[in-house]
Amino acid sequence: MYRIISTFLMLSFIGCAAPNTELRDQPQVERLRIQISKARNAIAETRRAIAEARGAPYVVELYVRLAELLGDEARYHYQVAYEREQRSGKTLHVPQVRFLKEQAIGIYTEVLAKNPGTPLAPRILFNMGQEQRELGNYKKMRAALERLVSEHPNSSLRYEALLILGDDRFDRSKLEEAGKYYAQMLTGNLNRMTGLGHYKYAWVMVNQANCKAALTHFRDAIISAEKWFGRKNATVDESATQSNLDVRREALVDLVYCYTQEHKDKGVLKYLRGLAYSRGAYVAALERLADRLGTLDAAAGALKAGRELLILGTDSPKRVDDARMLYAAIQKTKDFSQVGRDAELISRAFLRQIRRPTGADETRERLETELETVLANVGILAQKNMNKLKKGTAARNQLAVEIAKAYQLHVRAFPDSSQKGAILGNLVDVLVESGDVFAAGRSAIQLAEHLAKGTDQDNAWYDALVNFQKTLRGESTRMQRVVARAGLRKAGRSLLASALAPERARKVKFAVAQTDYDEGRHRVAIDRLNAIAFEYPGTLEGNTAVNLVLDSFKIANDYLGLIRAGHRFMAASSPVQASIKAEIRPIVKSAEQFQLDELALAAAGVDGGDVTGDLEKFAEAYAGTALGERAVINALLAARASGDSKTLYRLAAEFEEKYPKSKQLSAIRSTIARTAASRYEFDQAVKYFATAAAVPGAQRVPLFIAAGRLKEQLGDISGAKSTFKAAFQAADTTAAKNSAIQPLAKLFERQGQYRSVVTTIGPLGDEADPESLAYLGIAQIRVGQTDEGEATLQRVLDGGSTVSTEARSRAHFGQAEVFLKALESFDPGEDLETIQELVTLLEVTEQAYLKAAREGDPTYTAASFGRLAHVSKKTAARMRTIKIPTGTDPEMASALKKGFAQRADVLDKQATEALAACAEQGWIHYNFNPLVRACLKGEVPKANAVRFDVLKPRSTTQAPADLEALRVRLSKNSEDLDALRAIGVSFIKAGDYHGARLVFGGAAQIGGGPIESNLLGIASYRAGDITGGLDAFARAAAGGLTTGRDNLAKALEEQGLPNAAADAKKRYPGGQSGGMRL
Amino acid sequence: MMNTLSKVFGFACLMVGCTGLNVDRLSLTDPRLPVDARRWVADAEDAVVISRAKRDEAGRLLKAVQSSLEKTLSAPAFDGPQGTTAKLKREQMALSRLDAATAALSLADAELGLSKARLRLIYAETAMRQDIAVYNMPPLQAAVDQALSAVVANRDAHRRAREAELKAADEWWSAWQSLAAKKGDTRPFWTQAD
Repeated sequence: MYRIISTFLMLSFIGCAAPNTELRDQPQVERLRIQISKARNAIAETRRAIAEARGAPYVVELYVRLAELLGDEARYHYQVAYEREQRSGKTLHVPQVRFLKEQAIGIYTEVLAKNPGTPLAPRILFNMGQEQRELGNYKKMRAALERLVSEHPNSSLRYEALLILGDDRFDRSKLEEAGKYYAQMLTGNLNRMTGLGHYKYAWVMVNQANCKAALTHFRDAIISAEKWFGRKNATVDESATQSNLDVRREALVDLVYCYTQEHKDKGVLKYLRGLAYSRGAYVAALERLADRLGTLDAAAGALKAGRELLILGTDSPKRVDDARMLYAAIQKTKDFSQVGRDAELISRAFLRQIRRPTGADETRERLETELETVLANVGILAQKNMNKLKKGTAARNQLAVEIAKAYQLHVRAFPDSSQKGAILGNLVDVLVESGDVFAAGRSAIQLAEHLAKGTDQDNAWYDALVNFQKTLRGESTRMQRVVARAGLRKAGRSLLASALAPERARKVKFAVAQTDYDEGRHRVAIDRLNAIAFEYPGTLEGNTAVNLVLDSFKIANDYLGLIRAGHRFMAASSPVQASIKAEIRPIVKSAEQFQLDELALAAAGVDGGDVTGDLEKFAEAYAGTALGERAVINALLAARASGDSKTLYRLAAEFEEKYPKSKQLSAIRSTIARTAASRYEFDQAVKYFATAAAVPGAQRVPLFIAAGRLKEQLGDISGAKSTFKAAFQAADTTAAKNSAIQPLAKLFERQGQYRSVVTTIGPLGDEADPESLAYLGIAQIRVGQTDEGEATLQRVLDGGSTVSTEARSRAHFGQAEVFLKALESFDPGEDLETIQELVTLLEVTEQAYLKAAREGDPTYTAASFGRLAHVSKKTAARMRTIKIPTGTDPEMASALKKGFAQRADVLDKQATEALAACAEQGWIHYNFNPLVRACLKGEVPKANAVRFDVLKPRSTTQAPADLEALRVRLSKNSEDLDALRAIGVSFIKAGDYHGARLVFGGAAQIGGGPIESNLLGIASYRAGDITGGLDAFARAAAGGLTTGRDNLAKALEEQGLPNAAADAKKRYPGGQSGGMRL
Repeated sequence: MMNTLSKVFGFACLMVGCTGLNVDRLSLTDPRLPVDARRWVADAEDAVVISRAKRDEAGRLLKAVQSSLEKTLSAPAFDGPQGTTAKLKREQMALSRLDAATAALSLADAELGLSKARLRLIYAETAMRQDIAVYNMPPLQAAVDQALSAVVANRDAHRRAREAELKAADEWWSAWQSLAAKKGDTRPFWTQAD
């Protein structure tokens, strides 16, 4: 059993191991057999149909169809035999074929005999002709077809019959006869056979050595076929009916022979291109042309044909031959004008074959070797040719461009070639010749990398460097610049590694450093340029490097680095030339200014830490110079901005010490003073205002005034007076004098020192402005200089709308006081007319007070109402005691008395109302000045109505501790209400009410609420500013603060105003909790 | 009473997420934000972007300096008189540059942290001002203060590092000057790769 199995396996192995034999195409025979079966079935079916259709009109058609089916079956049998004989060309003996065909011919003959007029006659004759031809009965074939041609001139089969007849004659070399048949094909309208007729006729002409006529018919064949296919209703399968022959293509290819016979290669490409209907046809013609020109040894034409072929031809091994032909043509014609393009075409044709994956290695290697040689040779030959041309000419440059392309192809295709060095060397040369210095540089780099160490390599590096330098000097793209710079650095570095001559080394180093500079690689550029500057001082490169170093720092915005580098170059020990040192000095100086500005800018923007540190160091480095001065000022401003008062005062002292003659001294002092004031550092502020004012200048007066006001607010009245006086003394213009005198006059007025006001302002004379005159006029009236006072106040009113409200109020009030004096001193006696004058004077006085009240200044409005009450009350009393002139009619006297009494009553009422209006000013405007307080008590002001509270002396000047953090906050944000409140409360706790009053005054200005108002009230009240205190309490109470209301009530009680206190509680309901109690 | 209130507030804070530093981002297209608020928020967001760009730039510079240091350290010595000193000074300069670049990166990092903390604070302030959300502000303010302190410390450190770098540069160029003047071999400087 096992033996059987092993034998079977053995046989299987033997069978499997046997070589595969190519089997016949069995399915083809099968297909033919099926066709035969189908034909037979059809024949049988047709015979049945004929049997059943005797006498029918279509029976002829059935017979023809039967004959055709027999012919078809015969053809299938022949094809089966052909297939069985494995498609060999030997003669086949197939009896069925002859039998079937003869059957068919018999049917055709019978049908034609019985039905001579049948419309199927042309078809029958044509079929008969075909069958006879296939049976080899050519004579009978000709008879049938000639009968068709002669009897049926309009049949479409006539042209095909002529073609067969022509071909038959042609094959028997009976050209004349063949020509006649073909010529008959050309008659009549254009049809599908016209082109073919021309084509066939052309070949007859060719064989008769008449190329001229042949060329014409080939062309007509193409044109006719083109026309036929181009007509409107052309169909696609018509080409198949034309005997499977593409006349357009065949004619184009076949005319090449006659064209070259007639015209050689002249205009051949244009001629062919003009007639070609497709690229394929054109390429086929070109292939024929290339062969033909090769035969004719026409190199120039072959060159053109070869190029065209390589451009248009499809990928094929034939292209390699074309490429060889092109190469040979180039060599022969020595036409290198397109050598780059030609090399590319050749290279492409070869490489396509080389890269074919199915190609044999041997073939590939052979082709590679051949291509390498071809490319190298065309380049070298072309270069030799180029060297014969004159240097610098356009032709030479153009040729160089082409040669470079050829060499570049070589380098790309054969990177490991043994000729690489030589080719790269040539490539660099031709690229330089062509003017493409960028590519020359790149190729030189490649060459240098390829070469071994030595002179040749150094020269290659140097070539690269020089060409990249030229690239960078000329116009180039961004990519080229980047590559050129990198290449230059690489070449330079390699060159510098070898022993270069000092002169060359210097230039190379500078070139390398310059690329860094140009490329914006500042960090590296600075290092390399610095190195050159110190290594080669006094040379062009060294001097330029110095400037470029500074410029690099500047571009990088590194002024600190620039300054340091500048000083290094300018140092005594520096080898840099003196002229260069002088040249860079202004640059460094300018950089120092910039650096200072940068530092100042940086210091202004920082959020904390040692903001002035850099500036102070800078100032220290430039101490005693204008730059140092600016640095200190900037540091000072930075310290102020950051709220660092300790540093601020230290820097101010430093500035005073180091720059005592600085023009900025006054400004610095006043800045410090204002800063101190804004931080509520009163003593510092007063001190700096005074020292700032000591410096001559236009700012002296305002600085004195600011100092005086601060002193006044702090209760230092005598100090304030002397400061205001100093301001007046310092004033050298009318405006300055007026602005200096007014605060002093106001202070005197508040102190009740009216004579001092007169003696101070009086000497100003005409220089006094209306504001100053308003003080003077009131003072003059108070000291009894009534007429002068009246005149002075009239000058105020003459000032018109430019005069302030307060000044106008003063003027009207002063004039009312003058009228009042006149009224009080007027004695009407017992004369009715004088009594009438008294009444008029009273009315004038009343109107004057009312006018003053209407001006709207709270102080003088209240005073006017108060005085109006006084006038009304006093005049009412006079009205009641007025004596009626003696001798007056009793009835009249009675009426007058009654009238005076009624007027007195009105005046009493007016007095009451005026007093109430005066008191009401406190509640309306929160103005509780001494006069209003008197009004609230019900006291009519009999004498000077305008009175002021006097501040108490400041109880302490000791500043509260631990305020620095709060002050820093204030420095950063002057509207930091929390900080302000905390500082103010600290002052109150420390007992410095004057200071607290200023702090809360500031809080009120920036929009403080009831809490702050209440605290302002406490501070003001305790400092002796009762009016201010009550004002602030009232505002706090009006804001809803219960404590504020209570404090107001308490203060009013303390001032002897219990009713007002009670009224306050009624007016202000309170509600908001919190706040400090008085 | 106060105890109860604080508990309620704490609970409310927990509900809206206001106890930590988590703050929801505000959209500039939020219709509830007035123009001023949008501008304010946008400025703060811009500050973060700018700070991040600066930090990236500082990072790139540090890498470049590190690479340069490695090459400097591996470069051969200068031949000739003063050659050893020059090599030493060059290395010291490269190291000081690394210090300065590291300090610059730290500063940039701190500034980025500050800008982020500020942005959170501004989101929170704006949200509260516009009744969009409620946050516990003190921790956010404290975070800003802490970030600011870091910036101040880093700025001072950077300033010192920069000064040291400039000093080292002075010394290196002085050594180079001597080396060149005495015709020492300066090639190692030039043949070093970029």
